Amino acid sequence: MPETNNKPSLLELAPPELAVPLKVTQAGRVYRLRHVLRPPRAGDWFAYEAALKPEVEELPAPDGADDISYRLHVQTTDAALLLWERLALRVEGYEFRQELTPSEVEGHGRWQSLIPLAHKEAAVRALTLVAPAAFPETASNNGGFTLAAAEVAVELECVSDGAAYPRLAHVFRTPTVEAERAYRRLLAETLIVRGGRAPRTLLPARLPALVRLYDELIVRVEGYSIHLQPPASRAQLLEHMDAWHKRVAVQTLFGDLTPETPPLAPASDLAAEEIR
Amino acid sequence: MSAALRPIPAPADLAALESHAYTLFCHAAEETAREPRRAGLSRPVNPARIEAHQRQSRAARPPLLASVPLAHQLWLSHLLWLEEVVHTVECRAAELTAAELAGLQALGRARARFVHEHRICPHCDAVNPRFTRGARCRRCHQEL
Repeated sequence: MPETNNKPSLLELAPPELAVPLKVTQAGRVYRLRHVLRPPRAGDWFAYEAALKPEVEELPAPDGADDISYRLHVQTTDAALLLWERLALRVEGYEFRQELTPSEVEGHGRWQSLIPLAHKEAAVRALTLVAPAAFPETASNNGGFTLAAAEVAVELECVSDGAAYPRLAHVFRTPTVEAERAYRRLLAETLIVRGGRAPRTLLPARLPALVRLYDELIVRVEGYSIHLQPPASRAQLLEHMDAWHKRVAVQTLFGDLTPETPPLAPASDLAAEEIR
Repeated sequence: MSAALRPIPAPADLAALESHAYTLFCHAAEETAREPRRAGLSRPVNPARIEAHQRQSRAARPPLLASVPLAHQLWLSHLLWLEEVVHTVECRAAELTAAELAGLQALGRARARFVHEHRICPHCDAVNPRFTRGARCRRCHQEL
């Protein structure tokens, strides 16, 4: 539903407000709407992430098989609603029913309550559209793995204010073992609920700790601006960088830290080379 | 909320962690009993062939063990990594959290119990339960 266009420029980290364009099709008609939001602060993102309340349910395999499957539950709607209500300044492209009197509008409560939930969810989803930039997986394109590198660059791409930003670089100093330990510990610390049909794993909020790791390791960024100028200092960068971007950058820096599972070789090859 | 349904931090669930660590060690031992004998390769060693076989084994194996809850698997995985790192790089005990220290101790107890209750086959290196009748290796079937 959010609309985008390619506008090669710097991503502004301190805009006065964010406009999220939405294209909504209903009953055969197309509506172009805009939600104008206050730029989220770290506290807003912390509240959003906490409201997601992710938990993993372990589904027992049928007939006592050793295999197991997992179902992830995330309260995306509740979290989006919470964030939208914190950020919404005004909306454009909507109109009241003509016969609706001002007192009736008052009767509905604030105008925010009249906005369809799906529109609010779409507007919040647009704020989270940041991901690692896609690189081809061939080694020749990525060059050699740099040994003893002092810095590691992570590239993200995102969509904001209806524009696409394909190259947002975050340059970190190479993580120490201590930083890696902190990251691993963060991923491993969960809560368990026993006593139901199957155990459930609750994943606690990790954003504040990820932001701390980012602040500890970041050296500089490229592709961002603050008041239309590249960040003047590291302190200014730490203050203005979006917490959700910090989260994605740190996760990309460390990866999932698990060995890659190579794809299964074709059965015919293995049959020909069977080990006896 | 009943006590059974109250969330418990997985790192603090030490008795369960120790028991599940022992389960994971036993599972790994059973895997060794299922693997083909390396010493019995009938053809010249071909690294590509061995890697292809290992890829197949990894892909065929369930990624997680059903009897160990995910929360415990995640924390045990962290402890096993930590154990490796602590022995590899300089790491003062003060740099570990209390939960990590207690977890490493639980891991140590589980390993001690596992070592006490298992033995390695002198012929093929498979790990076998120590207290079994017949005393033959599960993999090569030779006398232990």
